[in-house]
Amino acid sequence: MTNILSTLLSYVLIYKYYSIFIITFLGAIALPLPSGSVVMAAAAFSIQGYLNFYLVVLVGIAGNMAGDSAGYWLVRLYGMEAVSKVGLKKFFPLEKLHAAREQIEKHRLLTIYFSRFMTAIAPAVNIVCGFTELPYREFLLFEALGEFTEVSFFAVMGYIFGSNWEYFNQVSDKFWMVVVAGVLFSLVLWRYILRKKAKA
Amino acid sequence: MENQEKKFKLKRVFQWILLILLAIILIFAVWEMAKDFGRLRQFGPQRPIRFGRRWFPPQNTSAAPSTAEIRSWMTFRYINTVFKLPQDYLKNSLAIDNAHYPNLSIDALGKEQKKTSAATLAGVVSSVQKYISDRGPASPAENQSGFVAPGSSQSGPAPQ
Repeated sequence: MTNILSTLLSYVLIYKYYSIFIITFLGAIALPLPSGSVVMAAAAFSIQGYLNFYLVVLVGIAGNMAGDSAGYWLVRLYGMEAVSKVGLKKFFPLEKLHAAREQIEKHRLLTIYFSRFMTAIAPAVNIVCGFTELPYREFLLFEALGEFTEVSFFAVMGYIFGSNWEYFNQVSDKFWMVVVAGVLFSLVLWRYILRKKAKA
Repeated sequence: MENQEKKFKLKRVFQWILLILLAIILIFAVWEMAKDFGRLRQFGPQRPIRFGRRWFPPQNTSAAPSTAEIRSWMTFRYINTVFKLPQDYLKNSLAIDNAHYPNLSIDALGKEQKKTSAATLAGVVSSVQKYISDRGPASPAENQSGFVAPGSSQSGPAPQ
């Protein structure tokens, strides 16, 4: 278990729902916090009666939604200057934002919904939605659906596996490693094959 | 022309090296995931699940909590709740002077007492085990907490 997760879990045990809200809020805004693992652990704590399972889910969803909305409105109200003031401008160059806008407009539900499961991409999608002024109601609906699914999934896994949630967490971490390594491997292989075909 | 050919060959060699490295990482990641999945199946869920029973047979959910599950990030309030300890038992047995008790983690206590995390954790575990052995076996109703029984084959080492 990482030091960050251990520290966050101590805060959850001390400050309970307040800390779950803050951790999920900060994770949704852009900080690389393991909010899914925190929700899973909190649901496991609820088995002992230390926390209430339904409140954990509710607070987890609320924190994520608040963070998503904060990212959206920050850019929508103050533009990319707000992003550059917090030091994120280099991650969101204008030409890429316009390209992302087309992608989002083609597949709004899918892009916003599925990005909730990818903690690295979700904040970027929030910023793009704010920058492109996607109607807030639409954004809220799709991201609420996504957050409900994501938080419920982690909470249910924590509740089911109880004190063995750490093993499930390890499997989940390794799964993403397999996915990333697999995608990179496929991309490099595909480029190599294309080059070979072009040469032939 | 020769320079361009050399550059092209270097690029190909680099691509092959990258492919081999990625393949090794992928194989390693799949192997590790399979091991973790096997462990997860072995220790299993602690709540009965309707689907996937073949993959995850439910474990004994009425077993007593296990001290092997205590981790250094846990707070004393949490440990008191899980093991049903009197509020000040660990405070007295470990000579804890901190005003934040029981909202204090084992790690934080270790730093305050200038001990390693492992030593503080061992002290806490041994105090809890002493209380449990002095109290005697708890009733099944008291054990409804979903923890694995101490000393059972189902309690495993701390995951890395």
